[in-house]
Amino acid sequence: MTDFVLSLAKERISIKLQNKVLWVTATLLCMLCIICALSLGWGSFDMAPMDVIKVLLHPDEQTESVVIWQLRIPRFLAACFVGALFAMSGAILQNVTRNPIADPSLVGVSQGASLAVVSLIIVWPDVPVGLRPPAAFAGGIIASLLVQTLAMGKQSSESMRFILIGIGVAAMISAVTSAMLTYGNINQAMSALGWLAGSVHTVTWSTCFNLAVCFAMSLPAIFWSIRPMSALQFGPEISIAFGLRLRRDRFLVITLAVALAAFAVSAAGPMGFIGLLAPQLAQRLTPAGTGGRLVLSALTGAVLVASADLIGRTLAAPLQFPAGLVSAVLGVPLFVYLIIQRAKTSQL
Amino acid sequence: MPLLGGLRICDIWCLIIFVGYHPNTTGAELADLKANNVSVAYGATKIVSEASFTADQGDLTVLVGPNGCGKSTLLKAIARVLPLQQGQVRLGQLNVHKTPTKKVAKQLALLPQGPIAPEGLTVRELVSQGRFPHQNLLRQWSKQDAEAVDRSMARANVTDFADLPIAELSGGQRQRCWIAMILAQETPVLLLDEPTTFLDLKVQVDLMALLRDIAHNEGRTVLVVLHDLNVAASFADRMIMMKSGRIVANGHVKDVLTPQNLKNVFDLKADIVPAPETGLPVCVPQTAALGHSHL
Repeated sequence: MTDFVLSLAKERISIKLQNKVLWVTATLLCMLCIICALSLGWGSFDMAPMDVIKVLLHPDEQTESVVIWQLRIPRFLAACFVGALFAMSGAILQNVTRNPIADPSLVGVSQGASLAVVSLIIVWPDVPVGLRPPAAFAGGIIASLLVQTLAMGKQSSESMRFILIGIGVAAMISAVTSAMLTYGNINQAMSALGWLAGSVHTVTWSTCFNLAVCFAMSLPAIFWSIRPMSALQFGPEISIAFGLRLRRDRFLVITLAVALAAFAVSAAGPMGFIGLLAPQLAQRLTPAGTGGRLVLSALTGAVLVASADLIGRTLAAPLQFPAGLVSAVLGVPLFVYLIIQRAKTSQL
Repeated sequence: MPLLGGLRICDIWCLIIFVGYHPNTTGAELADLKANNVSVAYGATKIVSEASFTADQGDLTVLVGPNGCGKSTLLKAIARVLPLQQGQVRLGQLNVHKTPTKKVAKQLALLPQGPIAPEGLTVRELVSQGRFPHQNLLRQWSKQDAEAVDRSMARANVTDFADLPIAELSGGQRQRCWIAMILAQETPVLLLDEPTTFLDLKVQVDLMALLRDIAHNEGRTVLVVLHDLNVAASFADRMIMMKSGRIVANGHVKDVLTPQNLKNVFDLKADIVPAPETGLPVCVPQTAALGHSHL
């Protein structure tokens, strides 16, 4: 085997690392660096690499400096954070429900957040824009708590029940959102649609800062969740036999997934497809343990959203396509291709 | 010197137990599994009523009964997957349902019916998961873990395909991998729910021989739910027969597998004949009197 074990303090700390996972991680990080370099130079205001480096080293009050420091860097960072958050949320949900189609929009996070923001825009247009992220976060959490409560049976609840109730509740919330968009004031509805497309184009340093704080605060919980997740992927019976406190741990792990997605939605609007696609892509890059898969999913998600945003704003500049749309338009064919490939190797 | 001879055999047994089976656990190790007056219910429907039995250490105990008689439910309740409505399950001094579940996981392993492996897992990764109760957040993989996994894979004879994905194996090989996984948990008690279902007879026989060997030579308590009576009779040290949630017979195979019990429990007219090789009872259904109207 090409694994090695990192062992400290007489094996009191010992972690198994897979060689191939480390290599793929390094590759994805390199890709992120390349995308970062391109993101800084390219755009409706193209810059030569030397100018970019000069501005990075010596920020000043010139247009170049403002474009790089106030627009492109925060935008790139936010895209990475959002992609990573959605991807980890999807990876966790797919693990817990043992269902490859699980993603944040399935448990109502995206829909709840959308409803909250759309009603802010259409019903209370006077509320300041700065209140949208907390409203999105609250809406996402409330909707997914509703789904979780409904899905909890007396016995250990089945994952299919969770998914079906999630789809049902999500559809209901979406219907209310659609009704608002249809009957609301046209200008406000247009503004709401812009948010619903999922984009990082309005991002500022404060968005980035919020995302970074949320991310940092979730890290201990993510680290904790790896262990219960590695048992939960075997289903409820084996999880209990392994000594997991099933109901408590499953609730906590799902809540973590919901919170991660809610952070991302509140910053960039719903981009449901990333949560589905990134973990699937990561899985195909290399098989990994539970922790490795989380890391790979996060990096894949970051690469996806950052590159989608780069393509969206350079392809038809100065016209800007939202990253959520670009990632769906480019991601779906990739996704379908992966599934067809897999059908050929007869593993369903 | 019969006494000395007896001692020697005893020593050899101890040695076998010591070599084959390394419990790195604290607390109860004498592992007779006792169910006292256990009842289990789904909502208002009682599935198991006042079941009491003992599965002895070093024995292969088999639980049989018609479909829906509650044998799987009883096994799940013993494994604390389902809550008890009344009664208790004791493992040595340990009350299984009142002890912290992490501690029980080092004493009692369960292989549920038809387990599903996560996609893409290799045999070694699957077996490694059996070490879960012995690991924690920081101590994810120790030397003992690696040794236990190697030992369990060798025991279940799956070392040859250790690095293959589970999906590429045959049904019998796959089931041996799952058995290796629960062996790696290194618990004195093993519970298995219909581990031989959907497998060829030869594969069933091999699996049961492995389980009996684990019980006899490693001194573990093995409790298995089976539906094939003849496979059960060939290997069980003790047979427990259930009907409608109640235990109706419990004891040596010869005393449990009788025409009267088969008629009473399974509504099956059958003869019991001794197996030519072992003399153990074999169940042969009476078919001559059955007309097509029964089909």
